[in-house]
Amino acid sequence: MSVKLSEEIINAIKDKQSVKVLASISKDGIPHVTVKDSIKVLEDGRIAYYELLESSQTQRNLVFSIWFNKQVAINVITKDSKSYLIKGKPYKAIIAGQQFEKAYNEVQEKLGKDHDLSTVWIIEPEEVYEETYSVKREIIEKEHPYVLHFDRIAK
Amino acid sequence: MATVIDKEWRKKEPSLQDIIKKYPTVSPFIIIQIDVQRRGVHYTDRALEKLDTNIHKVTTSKNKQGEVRVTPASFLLRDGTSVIVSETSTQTHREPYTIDVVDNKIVLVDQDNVIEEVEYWEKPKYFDKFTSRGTPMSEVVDARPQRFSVTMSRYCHFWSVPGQGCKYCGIGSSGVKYRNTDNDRVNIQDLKETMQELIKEKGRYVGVILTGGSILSGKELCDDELEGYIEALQAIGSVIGAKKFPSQVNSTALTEKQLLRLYEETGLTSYTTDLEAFDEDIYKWVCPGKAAHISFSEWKNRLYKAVEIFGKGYVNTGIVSGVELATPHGFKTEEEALKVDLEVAEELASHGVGLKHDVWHVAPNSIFFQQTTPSLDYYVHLTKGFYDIMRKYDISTEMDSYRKCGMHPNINLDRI
Repeated sequence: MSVKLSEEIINAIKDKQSVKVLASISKDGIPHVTVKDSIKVLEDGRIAYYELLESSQTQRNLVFSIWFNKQVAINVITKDSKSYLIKGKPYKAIIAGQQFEKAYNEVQEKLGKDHDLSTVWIIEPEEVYEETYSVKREIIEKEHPYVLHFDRIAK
Repeated sequence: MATVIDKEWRKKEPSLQDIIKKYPTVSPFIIIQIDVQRRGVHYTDRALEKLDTNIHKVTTSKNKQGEVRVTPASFLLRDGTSVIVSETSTQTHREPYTIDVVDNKIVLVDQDNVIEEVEYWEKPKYFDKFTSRGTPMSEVVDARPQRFSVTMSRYCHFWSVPGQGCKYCGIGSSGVKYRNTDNDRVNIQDLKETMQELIKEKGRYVGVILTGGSILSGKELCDDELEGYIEALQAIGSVIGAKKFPSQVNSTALTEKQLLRLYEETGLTSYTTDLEAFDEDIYKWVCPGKAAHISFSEWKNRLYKAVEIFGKGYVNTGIVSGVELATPHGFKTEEEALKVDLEVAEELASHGVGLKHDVWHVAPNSIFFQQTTPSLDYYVHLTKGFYDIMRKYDISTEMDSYRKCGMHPNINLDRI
């Protein structure tokens, strides 16, 4: 089930100063995390990222996810330390055609002609959470009031 | 002759969903690819309305009334897997899948159930151009989404002796009309000019394959075929300007001396020569022309020599999977066929030879036009078997990958 990303999250992803990481799992269940600057939100609300390396572990894991219906996770950390977690499933691997060639040119313009593009991955967002520490702390302490150290309780 | 659909066929074999459940480690996308290539497709009018001849690669055919029908050349699945199938290339006792439009998306449908979204292949930009000789460039170099191919010769010499053409082959049978014509073989000037246009397309191609009908003539058997490949590869290399480039020749099994020339005189990086069937008696029956000139064991020996020259991971061989079950001389059961296929596959792989299979689609103009292909269960078992053997012997699939070819399900599995 897809979810709509809020304007706040879309702006966080758009901001060049944000750090965007993608977490995925291999066919053997081994986790893998990489920074993906190319993550962006498309007009239809889906997320795209450019995988440059055909034989990378992320590429293999994304193929595993689209084949076997597994989620991947994206975390966006803003310059003011806000953190957003998006979980979703790869919807499409664009490996050829006009859309691919446009992205290929974009990559070469940005990185230089020695760089290749393997795949434009389109990810369908399914769950979104704010993971900013202050926000998360407030929620968790309300839900679990007796999970803390004694020295914090003692007056 | 139209083949009658067996209305009971679904009761006789497991369904697509049954097989996806039975093989939980095999990609459902690859299972779909196999089944569509096995059963064929039909495009609805709605699906054809989505076809844009300015963008998409098309194929044309004529129906019984002589009306021209333009359909997509083929399509991609969401994961980037190409399904290599055209509406007219497959004759089957089973209903073909349908390509239709649902919720404005082009989809693969079976019995009113949407199976997957699909996307038509786009055509290369050079397809609308002509060489200085007036040849349409689309006739000189063909293309799939990420690779281009050159058909070296349209006329396969095995078909010059009655009964010696490969029995499953519709290309060879229709190629006889090119015998002794000017356009039997690719023109090198046309090839160079087409390459000069092709190379302008950024981000499109990751490999080239050269293949064609067997040419038996020359000082030694197939020397003329060899010369053709050398000349074409040198022409392609002169445009690319690199010593080696990702490429594959799929030829008749050449001798060590011929292979050395192919390797040393061109930019070729990988070689394949197809045994077509992994049983000697069936090879002799299905491919009598090949067997008359090169024995089953000699074909294998030439593959082993090719590995010594090109290296492990740069040589493979293929079968037309399912023809070993053709009647009356094929195996009687799928179990028996799979046992032999996987035993011989293991023997070949132990010598460093890669494995691939082309899902047999019964070509309407082939000698086997009334045969029936095996079950989907057989195909997935074979696909997984080949994949597992390739992994066991650590044989790379990169030179024949889903991008560079796309035709071979066991190789397409090697992405995770």
